[in-house]
Amino acid sequence: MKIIEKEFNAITGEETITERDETAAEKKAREKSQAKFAQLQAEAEAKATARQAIADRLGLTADELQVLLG
Amino acid sequence: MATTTNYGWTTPDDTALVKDGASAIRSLGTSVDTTTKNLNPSTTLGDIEYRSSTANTNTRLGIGTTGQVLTVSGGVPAWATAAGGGANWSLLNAGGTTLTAATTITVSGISSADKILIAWDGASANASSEIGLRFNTISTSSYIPQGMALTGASSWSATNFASRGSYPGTDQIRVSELSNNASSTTSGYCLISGANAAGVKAFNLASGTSAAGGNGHISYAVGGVIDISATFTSVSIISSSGNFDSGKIYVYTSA
Repeated sequence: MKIIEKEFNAITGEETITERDETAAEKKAREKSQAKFAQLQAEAEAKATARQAIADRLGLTADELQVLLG
Repeated sequence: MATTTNYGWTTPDDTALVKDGASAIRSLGTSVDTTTKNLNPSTTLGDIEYRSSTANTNTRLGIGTTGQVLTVSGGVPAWATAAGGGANWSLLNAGGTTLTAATTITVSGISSADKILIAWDGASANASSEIGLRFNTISTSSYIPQGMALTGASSWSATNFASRGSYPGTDQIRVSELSNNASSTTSGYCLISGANAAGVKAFNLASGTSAAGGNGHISYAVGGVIDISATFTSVSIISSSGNFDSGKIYVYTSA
């Protein structure tokens, strides 16, 4: 994975862009964020599925369920 | 004729035969009067004196006007209008620096700034990315925030409010974690004190992070220290996951 870095020198107004390989620490931080994202997505999907199952049992449409949940 | 030790006033010798005592006394009195006036040239209420470049001769300095303070000008005391109080802030990066197309965006060129205020507005990167700040691009465990972390969740939990303690230190000041929606953004500020001194710096930070329909976002209200002795010359904002795709960072400095 490449890391892009930008530096803006406020004195000279010069902007430099460099590209390099990510470090082990950066890889670990990225994977942590991605794992958190995946976990939150899985939780949201599981919750939506459970919610829809309840709505189906009650015979509610998605809109009616939304109204009920506020 | 003899003279006095300090001011050189002329006096009769011990062995002198004083032929004209009145003249001698008058001469001594005149010398004393001249010296005294040279040492105390005040003429007006509020006058003060200071030593001139001539020995035993002071210079009169008339009182200043209301509100003026005593200062030094050209190597001598002078009354002058007091400088305005306060920190006298100025924006270093005119118009702010756009946060786009990079995971690390650095504003350099900071110099002689005792205080630095960094404000980021509408910063966004990949969903669930952690956003942080570093100084002088230093990534050692030197950043020690203490305070509160507020997590946004889809349902209430007592753990939404948590303490944030980082001794012995982390590799950056974490300022936010975005929600699991890619439109989540963060805004906030970080105020650094002692940035131009050769010692530990102090900081205060507060941030807010939008849910944008997601959750898991974290905002911080923390303060603490940065255990870096070098004077700060740059500040970087960092995304842990993906390039920045919106927002700006503003860097204000004060001597």
